[in-house]
Amino acid sequence: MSEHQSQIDATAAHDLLRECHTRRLDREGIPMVLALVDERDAMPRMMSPQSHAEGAVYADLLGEYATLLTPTEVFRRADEGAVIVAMQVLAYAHFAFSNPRHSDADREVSA
Amino acid sequence: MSAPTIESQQQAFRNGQILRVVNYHSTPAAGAEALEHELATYAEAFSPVTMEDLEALFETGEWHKDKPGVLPVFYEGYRNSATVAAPICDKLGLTAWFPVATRFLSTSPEHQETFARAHSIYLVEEDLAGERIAMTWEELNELSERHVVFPHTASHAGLESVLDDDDLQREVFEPKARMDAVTGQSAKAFVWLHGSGYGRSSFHDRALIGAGYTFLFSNTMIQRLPEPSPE
Repeated sequence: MSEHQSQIDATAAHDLLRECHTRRLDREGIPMVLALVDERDAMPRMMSPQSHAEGAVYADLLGEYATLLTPTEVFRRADEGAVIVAMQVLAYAHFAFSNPRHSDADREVSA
Repeated sequence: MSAPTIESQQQAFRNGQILRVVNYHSTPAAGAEALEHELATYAEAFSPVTMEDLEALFETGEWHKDKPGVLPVFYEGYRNSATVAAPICDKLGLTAWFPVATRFLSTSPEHQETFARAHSIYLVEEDLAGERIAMTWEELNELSERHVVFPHTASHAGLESVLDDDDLQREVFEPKARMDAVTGQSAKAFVWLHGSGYGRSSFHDRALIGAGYTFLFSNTMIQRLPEPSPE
């Protein structure tokens, strides 16, 4: 687990969701943070320490956004649309750790 | 594989199985300066990802570059992907990825606007001002020499609209055959309209494997597909 203190509240999460859904997509790209999944078998262990460090932070942040935006009392666990929404906000706000859109939602990552 | 959940995504992330992607659609020349600025910030913070890099990640888990990877992905096969986006990526040293609706390229220029409007291909004003909207097959071939090109179905089709073997032939098999014939390479990736993933429909999954695709891009994952079963 990464060690970070949550500073995201529901209002900030909903603001981010609204922002990332109202962009002019002919004027900027859509950032995404995707999981790599091998449907043959288990993935080999990722060798990059940085990918583990970043991945741990992303995992925690995704859990926070999911709790705030797509709570399980409302959304099914396998509701792919809900998973996508949480991931959209994650990528929109935290795609580049060095240049977050909202500093209060940033996380420090060291390899 | 079932539908992704928050927990399955978190587990993959904790294992370091992450890759950053930035999706673009039409990139008009009027926005070239802004696009270059945006891509330059990515080029500064991240390393380019080639198909060989992606394959190595899945085979060995190794990443040989000093910064994390990023894939700028330019969807549909717009002319301006070749004339605006690709030169910027060349200048910045980024490897661009081009998922192309192959019938868009094969449609005559006078029918490309209609094709786009009939198949959920978003147009900006500048797209309508030129002689054509889609790139040519020759442009795609040139792109394939230094970037990654792969099918995004033939007609910009979603999995839900591909219902029988004829549909599969047209939207899954033929795009790869046509692209491979033009480039002399094997297109290894595929993406459905709406980004459906592997594991939702065995009918569609078998076709992707049978056609010879290796990777499927979706809204939540890049999936390494199983090998074809021996006959």
